[in-house]
Amino acid sequence: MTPFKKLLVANRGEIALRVMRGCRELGVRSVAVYSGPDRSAPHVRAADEAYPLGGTTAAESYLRGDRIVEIARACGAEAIHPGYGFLAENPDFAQACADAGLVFVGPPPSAMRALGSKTSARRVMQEAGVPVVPGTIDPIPTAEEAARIADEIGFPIALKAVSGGGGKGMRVVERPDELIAAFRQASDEAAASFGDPSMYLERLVVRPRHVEIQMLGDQHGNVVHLGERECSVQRRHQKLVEESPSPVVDADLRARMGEVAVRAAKAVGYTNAGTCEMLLDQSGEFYFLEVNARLQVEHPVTELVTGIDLVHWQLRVAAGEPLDFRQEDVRLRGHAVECRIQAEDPYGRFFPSTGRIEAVREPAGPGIRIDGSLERGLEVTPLYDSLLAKLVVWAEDRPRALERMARALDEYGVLGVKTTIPFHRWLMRHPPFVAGDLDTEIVARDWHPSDELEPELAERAAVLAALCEHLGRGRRQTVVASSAEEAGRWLSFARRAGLRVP
Amino acid sequence: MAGSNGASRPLAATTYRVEIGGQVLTVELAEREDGLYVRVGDGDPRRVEVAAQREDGELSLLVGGAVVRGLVGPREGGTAVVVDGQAVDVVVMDERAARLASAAAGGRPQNRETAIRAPMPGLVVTVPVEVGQGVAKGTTLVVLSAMKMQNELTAPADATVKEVLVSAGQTVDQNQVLVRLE
Repeated sequence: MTPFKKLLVANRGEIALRVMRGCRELGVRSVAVYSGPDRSAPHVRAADEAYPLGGTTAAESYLRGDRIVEIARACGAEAIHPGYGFLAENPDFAQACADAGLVFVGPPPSAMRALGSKTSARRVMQEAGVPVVPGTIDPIPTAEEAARIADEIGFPIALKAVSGGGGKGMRVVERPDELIAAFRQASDEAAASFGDPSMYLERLVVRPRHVEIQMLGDQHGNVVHLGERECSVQRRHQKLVEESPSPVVDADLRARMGEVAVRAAKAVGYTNAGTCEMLLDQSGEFYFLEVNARLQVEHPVTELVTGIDLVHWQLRVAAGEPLDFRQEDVRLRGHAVECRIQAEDPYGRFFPSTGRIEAVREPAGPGIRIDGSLERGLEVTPLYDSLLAKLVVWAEDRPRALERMARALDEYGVLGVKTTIPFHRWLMRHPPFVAGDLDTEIVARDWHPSDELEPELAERAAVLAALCEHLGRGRRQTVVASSAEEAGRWLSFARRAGLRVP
Repeated sequence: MAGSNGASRPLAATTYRVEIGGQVLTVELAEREDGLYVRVGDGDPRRVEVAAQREDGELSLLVGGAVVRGLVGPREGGTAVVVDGQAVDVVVMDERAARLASAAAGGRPQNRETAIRAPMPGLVVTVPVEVGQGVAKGTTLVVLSAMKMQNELTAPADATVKEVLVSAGQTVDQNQVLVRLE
């Protein structure tokens, strides 16, 4: 059954391609929208129809909800899939779609609003009996009051700026006698950095793991969870590697975390796909962090271990279909790992790298899935996200999945920008990672790359570069030389052609 | 099997100086009666054949029977090579060009000044250094917000801050000089 006749994808890059593939499989015509620089982008060519948004920056193009709704109506689309980022978690956009008679593929605006601010989400979750990190919800007026609350919840604690975020404006206090001075200092800093001195505090979760639960709900009150994803490998609070299942979550913990996520979803009337992010401490206690009201970048690992196509189900439940399976039908099989191939220099603190993609060679073979939009000639600009592709592998168990990922990374070649591939190659053989001993600081703590290349790799690269120079730079010709004689003939040809060979 | 050292006299040989990841390797390519031979540093010469040089950038060689496969392409001021998923910047010069370059560099005083440029357009978040300050390799010089992230530009080597050309809150273009070190 076709959920919709035509659907507009309000996004670009790999996620637009992912959604369009799902559309085609379900017999749904897909509509692309594009900014000025994206006129020839892969997502435009993958769609059935494409319309310009104009503009260059995200704000001028993919964030123009008004234009997108207008295009959807004009071309006769019934639904809009927002992907992730851009307008995906914007309740006003979801409302605007509904007002225009379009189906927004995602949760209802009311659920997005309830989850939108950390404080309101925390309040709703506490009321629903979802465990949250012990601490305050409201700003604390004085340092003395902070000291009193800290004594109640226990040390170490984290002081956080109400207007901060992503680790900014945070201070760790280990002992009660440090608290008052630290509070005043942090509050002054927050006033200087964010123009708002208000602070709140939480118990510090030491060496936390970031583990999240995938949820899926229909419009008939059914919500199931599809197991967890381990996302502790991060730099600057952004994920680099995700896997499912987590090496430390057993069936019992999975059931408990999943039950909490389902309760959280039901508390706000959540439908469609969503993710409940949690912190898991070293003793196995877990705490609600936030709900991501969208399809996540890392959804493929869940698809590979559950066999459930999340994009298909997003469209089906958005069209009003009930889920045709129950919680007890969900089984995890094998192990999946995703590496985010970012245009970033892992040797230079993951600084974004821009340029033209000169050549690409992607891995293939057993257990490999690539969700990407990498191709020769692609311009990687600073305008949009630096995610080039997601390399996802599946194997029977975790050790085999890591070996398979290492193999796939060796096959991956991207020329033109720096990528995170060398980091991933290192990680797949990094003993604590292999042992499953993870926390969110693993990258900051353990990744100290040296500029020195492995001698054997340097030698191979040097030989290739010298040969390329020798054969004449800039020449583009396919030569398959099966014998010395043939290679020799080819060299004499090159010489006759005036190329620089001895 | 790689060897046949001195099996035939080289008809012609070229030595390349290859700068790669902070090291310099010499790669000698010699054409003999029975084909092309490669020698890295003091190693043994090995027969090298081109298995494929493809339009998509792939260069695959058979070096003494071993497959050496990579992507090779141009980059500003040199060559980029990808081997085992790892991209490496390489500068290749033949002996004559290397000699000329070193003679040219020897002829005038070394310019030790380094300009720290914005690798992309962005917003300067902070500049935690000041003029005259000594900085160790890896010290953060400028924090630039671009591509949804805060990016730290760091000192490539121990140096002294000679000039600070931007301040917090300023929008900068790609390649704009932010800080000068010496």
